[in-house]
Amino acid sequence: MQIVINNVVPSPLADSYINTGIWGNLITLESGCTYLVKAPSGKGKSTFINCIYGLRKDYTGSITFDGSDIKNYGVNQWAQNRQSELSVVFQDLRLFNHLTAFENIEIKRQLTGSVSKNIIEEMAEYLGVAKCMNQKVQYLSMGQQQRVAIIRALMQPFKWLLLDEPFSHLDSGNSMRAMQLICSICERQNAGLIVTSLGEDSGLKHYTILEV
Amino acid sequence: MIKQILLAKQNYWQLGFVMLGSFFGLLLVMSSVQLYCDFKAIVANKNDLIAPQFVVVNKPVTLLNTLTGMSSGFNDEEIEALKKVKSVGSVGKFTANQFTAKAAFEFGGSAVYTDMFFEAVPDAFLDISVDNWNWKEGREVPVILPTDYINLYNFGFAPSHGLPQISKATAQMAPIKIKIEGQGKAGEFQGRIAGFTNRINSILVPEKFLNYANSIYGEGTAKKTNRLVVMCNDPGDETLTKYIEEQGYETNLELLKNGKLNSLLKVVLSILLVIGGIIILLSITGFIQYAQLLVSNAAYEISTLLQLGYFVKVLFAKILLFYSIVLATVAILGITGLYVVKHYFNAWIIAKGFEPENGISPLVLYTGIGLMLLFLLLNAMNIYRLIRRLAG
Repeated sequence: MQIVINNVVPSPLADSYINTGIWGNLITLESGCTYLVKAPSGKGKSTFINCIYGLRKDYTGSITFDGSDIKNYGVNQWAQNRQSELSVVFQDLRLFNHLTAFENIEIKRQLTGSVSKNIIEEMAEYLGVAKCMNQKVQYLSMGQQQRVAIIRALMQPFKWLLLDEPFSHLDSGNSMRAMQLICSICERQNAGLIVTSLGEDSGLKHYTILEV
Repeated sequence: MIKQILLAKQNYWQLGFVMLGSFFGLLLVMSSVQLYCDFKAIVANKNDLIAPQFVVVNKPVTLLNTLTGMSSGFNDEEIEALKKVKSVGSVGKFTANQFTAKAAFEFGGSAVYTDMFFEAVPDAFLDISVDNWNWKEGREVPVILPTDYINLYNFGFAPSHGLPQISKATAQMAPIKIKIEGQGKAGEFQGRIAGFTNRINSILVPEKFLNYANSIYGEGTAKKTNRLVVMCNDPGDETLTKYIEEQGYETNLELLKNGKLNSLLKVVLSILLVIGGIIILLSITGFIQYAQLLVSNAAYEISTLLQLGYFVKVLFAKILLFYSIVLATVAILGITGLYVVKHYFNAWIIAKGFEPENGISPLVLYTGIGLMLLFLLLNAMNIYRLIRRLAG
């Protein structure tokens, strides 16, 4: 699925953006490719992710998926897209604090039913969060929560995976492992990857940098 | 798990109060409708020889009638007009005797001879449970008397003359000799009191007998119809009462009383219905506000689930299922409550000598269930709107 970002400027940035990066230009994101959105805080990295994920519509210009403008998508089409085309790790993670880590992941797994249950354990083991699977999310550290959110994002088929500063609370060793896992699954699904970051690439390979 | 996420933050106290409110509203509305059905049943059940939906109508006797000797009868147009009044099923004419008649009542050896008159109404107008009413030649003539007659005798005549009082059953055992004269012929028939009525102020014999006697002893010219018996399909309907008043006819007051009582009761029941309706309306508002609270308390959860790819309709269905269970609970409690109320109401009103309907009228159940479905529909629309709003 090709994503074309054409002359997009979010309304809050209308007066302050510099059109050298993603805002106000024509950018084509080719399917199966990896992109790193690099910028300091407050430049609109999350806005960029949210615009592609359909959570923000307050921008001028257009974003198209394989040629169709996403502003025309209805709620049902977005739900469908979020089950099979797009997956995301939000910067604020958006986990359910009163559910356990496992339940948080299960919520997504049950939705699509495309991944078997034992994969959760394998991934948790790999990322070092197997022991906290049955704890309520509110008692987990930010780093553990980030890994839970990453596993949740991998519980569905997708053509694009959007990661909004996914490793901000992880040490470099854990970031590397997480990135390895993510990349292998993207490769297997032939999916594209968009990662926002303050600067680190956390072991990301063969990527295109998008400036903000 | 989805349900757990969506309903985790609700306030059960608030839900309890909303349910309690709608329970009372529902119970009040259903009870009012049931009371109305009971009242109709009580009106319709009053057993007498002439059922309450039959009303006897006559024209008032004026000085003019007295002076001219003309009787105040109905002509055909007037009868036709009466037939066209709403709620009038059919109109029966009173047939009068066209001969002179005398009857001898024999009580304990002494006989009382008296001049008599007879009238008859078509059998269909008598809610009759009298044996031998279907008269044939050679058989005893059954006679129906007004209850007032035996009361007059028992409480007026007998005590003042030192005579024994007679029960209705005793009176019915006494044979009556009926002597008829006319057209130069005379005949004698055996008769018996077959029953008493307090609805029709006349001495009634089977129409067959009267037609037979008229054909033999009668003058041959039918008298003008003085009285009519009107079958009213809906005793609660006031159209007939009003028509009778407008035309200046007179009637046995029973129906008029029932009509007035009916309209009074309708007012009282309407007030109950309105109060019940207001409570229902308030509880609808309560439920709608509760839904608003439920959705806004779970706004983060709902919008997150939507962002994870859940369809609006899936979340809507989960919340609606919860609401359906809540409303079904209210409906079941309401209907159970109604049965309890009905049980005690029946015990009370039967003790007062009325005959209410035994069970709950289907109309009441339809009303209750209909109201709950309306509740569900309104809430469903509201909940869908609230979730849809969170979907952006």
